[in-house]
Amino acid sequence: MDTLGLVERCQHGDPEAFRELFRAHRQDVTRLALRMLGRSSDLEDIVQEVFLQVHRSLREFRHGARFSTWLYRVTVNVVLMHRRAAKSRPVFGDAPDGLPAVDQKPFADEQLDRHRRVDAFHRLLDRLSEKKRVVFVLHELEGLPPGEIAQIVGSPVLTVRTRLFYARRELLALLTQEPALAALAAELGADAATDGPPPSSDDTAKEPA
Amino acid sequence: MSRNEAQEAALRRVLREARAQQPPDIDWAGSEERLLRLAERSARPTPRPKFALAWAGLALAAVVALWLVHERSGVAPRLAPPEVVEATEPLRKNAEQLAVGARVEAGERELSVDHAKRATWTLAPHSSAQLTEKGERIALRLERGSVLSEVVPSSRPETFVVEAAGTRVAVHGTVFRVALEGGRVIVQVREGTVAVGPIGAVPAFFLKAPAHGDFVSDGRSGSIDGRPLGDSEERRPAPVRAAPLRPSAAPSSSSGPVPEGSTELPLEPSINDIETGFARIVDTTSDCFGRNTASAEGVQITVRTALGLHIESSGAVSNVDFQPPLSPEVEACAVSGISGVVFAASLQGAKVTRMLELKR
Repeated sequence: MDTLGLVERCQHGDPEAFRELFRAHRQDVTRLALRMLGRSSDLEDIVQEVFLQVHRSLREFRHGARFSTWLYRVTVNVVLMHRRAAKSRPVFGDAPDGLPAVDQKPFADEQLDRHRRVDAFHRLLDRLSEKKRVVFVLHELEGLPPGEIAQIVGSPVLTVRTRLFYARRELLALLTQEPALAALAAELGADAATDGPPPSSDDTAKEPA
Repeated sequence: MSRNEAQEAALRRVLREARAQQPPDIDWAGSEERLLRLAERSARPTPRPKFALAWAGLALAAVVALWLVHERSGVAPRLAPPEVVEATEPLRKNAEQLAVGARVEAGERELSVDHAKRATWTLAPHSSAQLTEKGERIALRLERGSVLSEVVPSSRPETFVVEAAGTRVAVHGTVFRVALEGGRVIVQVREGTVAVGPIGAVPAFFLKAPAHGDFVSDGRSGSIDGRPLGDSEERRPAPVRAAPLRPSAAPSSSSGPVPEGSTELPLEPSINDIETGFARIVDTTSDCFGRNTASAEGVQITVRTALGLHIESSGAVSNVDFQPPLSPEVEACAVSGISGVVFAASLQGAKVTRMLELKR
């Protein structure tokens, strides 16, 4: 499917093209929003808001630019706005949605642990500054190169790299403050001590998404 | 494995688990239906939040030159006005009584149209114009004769626009006259500044009162105060250069009215030029912030952000960065407006950062 062709048709007011654009990119937007927010009951609203923004701003999209980069930028901005708005709303505690309530599957404990770790990881992300969190998610979870992130956040590549470096360092320093992650680190350290070096490739491989 | 290595391994593991996290099920059919409905609704009446800037940019460029007059220059108006207001006596009309698209024709006497607290425009005898917009921006299409416009100064960009033949004159707050005379567009500025250029393109000329411009009908060349302005000549009279906001049309670089082949360009834009442009940018951004930020009564919202600009050698702004970012609405609005600001041309351009404090 030719995205730029769709964009051009959208810019001329073709609603069918907008529908196709939505269908083609909604998963990407949902995934990024999820990765930036962790579990959120507002995910659907956010995705909708992103595409409304796209619809309203599409005329400003310049051909020659990458649509996906532009869409990432819109998504990042909408998510950040959502976060800022959410901070001013009352919080009633963690909703347990998304966590399996009962052990219904084999290895349910393992799945539950994984859920907890991912939730803990998002809590750590929340403690990073906005700028660092955004570049970290885009690079480590979305797998985008610093050059593209620089375009998305409108900062020099060097700045992006610096933010990545400090984000990673801060996360490592904070890691032990989350019991689920501290336990994981202890477990991995103990395994390595038992098995001897080096640590399994499973855990050391660098995996851009 | 050391403690640090264990922590790094834990981070890698949890990153991998986070990457594998699956989004929840979403009712895409319902979501799509709602989205298309909302999109259609937002596109229908007023493209305020997103396109406001683009429209505002257009309006800004048009603010100064409402007075394009002509004397039966053969400009063929392809209009299908639903309403014709004709004056046979000296007349004042309340713009409220006019629908968009209405053609206004002056007979033997002048005809004035009042837009309360915003502008008054007066058609000379035997002149006619069509009211093409009367929302946040007032726009006229001068068909024949001349029109004198008095526009109340506003912080909003391009609150008043006159189009005549292929020329567009835009003002913020000023008194100016536009006339069609023998195929040419005459612009006289009594107060304020107007931006003049081809319709649908970047304003090419800026006239600061008192000034007299004589342009060919396409708005691309002519003279200002008797000084000829050619396509390839000094199209931009530096002393009166302001930073125009222009429509969504063409941003940046090559479209700017830069004198090609000039051998006297400074290395960088002057401080004055940068500050003048920045003042306009601050106004625009503040305006965008004010219009796109909800605030409960009595609650003041203040935002501080660093605005970084990359000014090309042509004077066009090629990169705009707010750190921290503003809301998508405000940024879209501001970026669109800023992209129309043109600084003085220079050999190497400049990178500039300023702190902004926006209040609502």
